[in-house]
Amino acid sequence: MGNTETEKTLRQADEDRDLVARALGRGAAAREAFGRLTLKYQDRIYNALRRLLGNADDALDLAQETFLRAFEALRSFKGDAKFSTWLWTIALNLRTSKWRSDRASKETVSLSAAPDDDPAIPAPAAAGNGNPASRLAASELNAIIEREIRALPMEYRQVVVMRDIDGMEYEEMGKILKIPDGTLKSRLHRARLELRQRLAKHL
Amino acid sequence: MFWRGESPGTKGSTMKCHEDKETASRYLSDLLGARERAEYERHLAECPECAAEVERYRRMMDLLRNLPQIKAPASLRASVMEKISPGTSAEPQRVSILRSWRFRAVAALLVLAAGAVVMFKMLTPTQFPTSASQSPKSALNVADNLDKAKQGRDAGDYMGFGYESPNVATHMDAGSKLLFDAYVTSPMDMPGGYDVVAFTSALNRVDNALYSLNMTDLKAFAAKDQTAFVDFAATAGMPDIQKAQLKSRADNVVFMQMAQKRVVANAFERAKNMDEVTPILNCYNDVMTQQQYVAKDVLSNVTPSGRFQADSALKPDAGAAPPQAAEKPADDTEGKVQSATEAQTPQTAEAEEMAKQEAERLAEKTRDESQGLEYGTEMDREKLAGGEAAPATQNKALQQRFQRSMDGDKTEMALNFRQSIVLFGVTPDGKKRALNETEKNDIKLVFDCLPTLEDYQSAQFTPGGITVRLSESEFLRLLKYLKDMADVKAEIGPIYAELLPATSAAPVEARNEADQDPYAVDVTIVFE
Repeated sequence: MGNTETEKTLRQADEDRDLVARALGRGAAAREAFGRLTLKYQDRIYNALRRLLGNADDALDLAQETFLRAFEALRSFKGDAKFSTWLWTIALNLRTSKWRSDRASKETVSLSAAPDDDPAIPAPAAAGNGNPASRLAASELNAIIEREIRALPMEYRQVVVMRDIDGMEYEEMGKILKIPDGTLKSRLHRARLELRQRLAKHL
Repeated sequence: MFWRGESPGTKGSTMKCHEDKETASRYLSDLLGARERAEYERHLAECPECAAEVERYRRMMDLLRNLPQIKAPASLRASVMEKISPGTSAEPQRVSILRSWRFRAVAALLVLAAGAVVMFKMLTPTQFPTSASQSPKSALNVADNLDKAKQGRDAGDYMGFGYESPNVATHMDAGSKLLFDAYVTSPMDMPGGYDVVAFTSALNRVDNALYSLNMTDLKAFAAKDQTAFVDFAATAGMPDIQKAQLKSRADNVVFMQMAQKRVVANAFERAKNMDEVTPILNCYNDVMTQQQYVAKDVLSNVTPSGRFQADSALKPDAGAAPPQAAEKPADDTEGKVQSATEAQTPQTAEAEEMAKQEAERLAEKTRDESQGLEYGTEMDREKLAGGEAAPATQNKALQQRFQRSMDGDKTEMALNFRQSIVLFGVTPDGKKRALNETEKNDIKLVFDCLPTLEDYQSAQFTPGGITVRLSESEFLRLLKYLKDMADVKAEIGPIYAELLPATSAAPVEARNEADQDPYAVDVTIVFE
């Protein structure tokens, strides 16, 4: 991380701490401060959940709940972690409990039978289109990648979304997932390996 | 030997190495040691296939990094903003409170509770139906009530955390019913019930919240008593019944008091001046006094002769009005519990021993609780002793306390709550057994479910258990997850949880200033 990057991160953390402190206050100012925090992180959380859940509606519900829970538990947010780390932790915990309650019905989504209920992800190119990636339109390739991500086991999907898409640091991921560095990296390695196989003909 | 594709004797050769996709991925996932890494990089320089494979990985990661972000729908923030502050002006607020599902949920809960109280009143002890299927011991084991607890937990989730999502609204009525059923059967499994009521303090009606908590508890307790009385009718196993009653009461009190203190602390935070504080304190004094009164009543319901005293039945209405002076003179509750135990002819020596321990534990707990009350303790004790209450003095002390808290000394308001949870297994023949390693690990996994990372990090894992400082809601949630765990792991035998008074729990060392959370609960989880 370069110097300016570090400075930027520190500035972000300061700004977040400030907003959190104000959100813990009273009245309109508190509400506005939390509104700004929401605005700042909603895209990140929403996109991550959308990819983890593979469903835009569920992602919206869970993202909403993440921010509401965060607001309720704001007091327990200790300033020594990043606010984004904390939000991620809440979001993933909510996802886990949602998964628990959904578990009885269905967990794995088969690739072919996957209900494409996320309108944000465009349908991939028609079958028979064996073109190499370079000839695929970028949006088509992105659609294929999104689908393949959704086909990964959840354990892998999480680390790919966090590291390769969101660009999170290992340290932050370790805190959120509560796994040691080695476990994290080897999980990431397995996940990339699998995704690499799935995307073989497009790379 | 540096990457898997290389076979012995081929050093320097590229034979087969390019088929080794793993090493490329390990390389990019920072899994190679410094030496391996250097060797692999040297190898890449002379092996186009491997270099191409690394390139493919890099391209994949580029594509992933550049996947388009979709803007979150505007409704996300709008709905968050709407819910975190139900209206900024007074008029819409009233509407929104009435519409709020929380309000309706609590109302539904209270209506149900009231129904149960009516039922309770209609049934005199002699009319209680006997039920052979209900063993008096059933109330002792949380795990026996897992089905109910699970329903209650789900209901608590619907109610406590579901907000106004349309999916939740449809479950609300059913949810409140389930919640109440479960609550009545096994309040210890139902921290969500208190959570729900504690939320009412967000509606700025502190007095209602405090009374609701009290009434919910009183009524749940009253209804729960029915079960105990049924058990009583079925057997003459007095120590067991006594245990069941006292335990349920003790478990209830723990949660209720936590929630009530939370309500008061919340109110303190919101209050702008002393005028706003006094009514809260008066109200709190009232409910605390009622609790002491009820707790005492419970103890005196069970007499040494083993006969239920019909005329000393719990007054379910007490929750609605300030209490009467205690009917019975205060006595040594500890001695009474013990003599009750000793007066019985226990079925087995083991049962006798267990009953004794339980009685001692509960007697101690009662003592702890009365000493541990942050507010109203002195007055309560005086009232219970038949003496005159001194609310004026009491309030003055509390007001001073509040003033200090306004001046920034938050430690005055601290709950200083400590809790031990003893976890153990049970053998097929019903004996306590130590947890095995798998079970212990499962319990550690429970911490993965805790909502905030920081608290998890303060957890200390030892071979004998875990100590952790948790916020109050995390503590309640932890209990829920422990139940969840016990449920999930049914195939290896249930994990039983037992709440113990604070005495054995060591305070968790505060790591930093933020750890001085006035709502913190120091939890010691003991693997037995």
